[in-house]
Amino acid sequence: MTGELRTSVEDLIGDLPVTAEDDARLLYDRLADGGWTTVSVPEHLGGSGGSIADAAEVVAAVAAAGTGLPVGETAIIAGWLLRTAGLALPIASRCVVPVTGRVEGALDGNGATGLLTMRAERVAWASWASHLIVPVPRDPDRTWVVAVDAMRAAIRRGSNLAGEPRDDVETAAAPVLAAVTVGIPHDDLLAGLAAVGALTRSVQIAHALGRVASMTARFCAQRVQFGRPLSAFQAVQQQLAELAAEAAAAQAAVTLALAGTDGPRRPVLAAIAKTRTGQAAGVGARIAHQLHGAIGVTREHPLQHYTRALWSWREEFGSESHWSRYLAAQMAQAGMPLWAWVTADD
Amino acid sequence: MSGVREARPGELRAAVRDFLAGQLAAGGYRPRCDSWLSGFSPEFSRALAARGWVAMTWPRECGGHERSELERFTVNEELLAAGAPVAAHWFGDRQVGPGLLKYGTQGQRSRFLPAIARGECYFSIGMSEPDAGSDLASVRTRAAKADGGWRVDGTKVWTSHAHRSHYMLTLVRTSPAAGSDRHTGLSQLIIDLRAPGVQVNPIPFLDGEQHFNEVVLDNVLVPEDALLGQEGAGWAQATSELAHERSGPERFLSTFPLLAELVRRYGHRGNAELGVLLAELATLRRLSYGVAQELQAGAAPAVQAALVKDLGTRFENRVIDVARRIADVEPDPDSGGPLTRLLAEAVLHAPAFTLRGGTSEILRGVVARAVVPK
Repeated sequence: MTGELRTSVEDLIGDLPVTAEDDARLLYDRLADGGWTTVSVPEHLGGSGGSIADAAEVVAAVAAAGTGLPVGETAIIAGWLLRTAGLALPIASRCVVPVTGRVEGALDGNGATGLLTMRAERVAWASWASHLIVPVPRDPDRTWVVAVDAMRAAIRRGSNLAGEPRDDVETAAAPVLAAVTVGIPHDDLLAGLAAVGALTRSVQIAHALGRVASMTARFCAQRVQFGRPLSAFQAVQQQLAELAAEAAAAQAAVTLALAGTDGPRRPVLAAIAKTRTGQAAGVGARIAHQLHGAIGVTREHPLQHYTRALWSWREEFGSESHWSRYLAAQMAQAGMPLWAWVTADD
Repeated sequence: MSGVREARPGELRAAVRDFLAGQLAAGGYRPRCDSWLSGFSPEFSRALAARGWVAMTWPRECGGHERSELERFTVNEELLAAGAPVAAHWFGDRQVGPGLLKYGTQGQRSRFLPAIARGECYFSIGMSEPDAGSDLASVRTRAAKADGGWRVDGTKVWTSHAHRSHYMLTLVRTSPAAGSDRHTGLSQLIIDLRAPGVQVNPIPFLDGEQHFNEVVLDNVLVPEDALLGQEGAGWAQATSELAHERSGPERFLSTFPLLAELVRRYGHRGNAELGVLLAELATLRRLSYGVAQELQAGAAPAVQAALVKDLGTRFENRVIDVARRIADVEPDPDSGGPLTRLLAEAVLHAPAFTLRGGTSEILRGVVARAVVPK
């Protein structure tokens, strides 16, 4: 099932990284028309009704193609938020983007008649959004999850290293389309979003890195220097093997996390994935550039679409430093022998 | 494998833990680093075998228990994480048994496999030779046809536990290489280490411990039925078990007892470096388990195994780095307290992690050749 999903999306995307924003928007529309951008939103909430692992296949295909698109936000993160809140996709929505970070703001009034006033910084893909989904505090125990038309928001464009939108968003007494209450404190809901976001970026890193590894191996087989292909040099082989190992480790960490998206250890597994893929992103990008030589640091070479994204994604939704500290704290809190903690899922 | 009784993984894990707790309480072992190489205990191996945890995946008629590769993975990682002494049966269980099952005659199988499975018959692996280093195909040990079998002359080195094993599965040259292909003309012989003409000389490890040996074979008469598999197919046979040899939990858990002790003492501080190790460990378990799944499906994922070993042995070393930074204590091999003793064992054994079973450089060559398109 999931393999087929991925192939279908790959067929839609084609081979080369799509780089011009207009082309990328066209490609996004094609994916949206096929229902690929709402894979993990349940059918009764207007989505395609797949699992997070299914949605990860779509995100993987896009990441491997080196094309920046908001499918991680719409297919995985918004899917999780809508499902958790029981909030339906807004009618005629094309690109539903969750506001995942720290939000300052409040809902004035009740439910669908309320007015939203909020500010948030560096919201991924907000400038592409048809609608924004915003969690705001209701009381100490509960959170509003609010849908607003993105036209009602003032959006100031920013970007990450790969040129993907990371935008500041502000609304002033914007009428909401829908608002539901979830019985989860605001901070806890944000923590849940952070874990889903970390998992999403981990999937993107693993698959971008997989493509970087195969691209680099191919380059080393073709590029001849000193009368031999680069891949014939032992020094190069050592680096290629380390790159392959990092890519495999990133993939394994993601496989592990995707197997437990419904379990109680979901945040721990996301933390493992983000810590390990974040490490792999740095090591992998460094080796890929070293082996590509000067051609790899040019704008025209496709490698930079991947490596610039890797360098951003590894910080987004928490770096290795953040999540490794989280892991250590979780383990300390569990207060059990290390091996019992390591094998708690088995 | 039909008819396999699959225990729930949790039950099996719990049973192994109960067993280990019992052994520990009875003074059956003291947890140590690198226990699969340094912890040689016939008593422990026999007790383990009595529970059915040696030769787990082999057929019943060979003394095995027809369990899955995944159940074997679970048992082995439990044993290694506990630092239990499993060296005596390890090589027979890991390499020799699968080789005998694949290539052995009925007579060989019934002679060796049930004894290995009972934890009573121990094997060494005779591959490396003097001056050859990582170049395992550079075999100078010769076996010449003689009355009643072969006469074998040569020397093997780095042969773990040959001084207390019963047999050595030995790679020998039985005919000249065909042209420049040194992999031809090699065969595997099962040599009785008590046979006349076999001399086992210790090569003390850097800390003085004895597990390495030099095995000198001086005109040793090896019976005809000691040939494993086909004459001349020794290289292919010996390397066909590499996925078993390189992918298991022993390739990333050699320093786990140190890590566990470190966490017991300092884990409450929530140190980020410990968190990084946890992420790496979870990932390695997933990778290694993935190889066990492929083995169970009948594949021999040699490249994936090489990659697991390279990543795993780097992790084993990183545990030491982190332990040093967090604990800031002097390693003490004779300490009564576990932390400084485990640190001493880990530091002293670490240089071997990235050498044995294929050096990291050799493994990376294997991986690179596989990923580069032809």
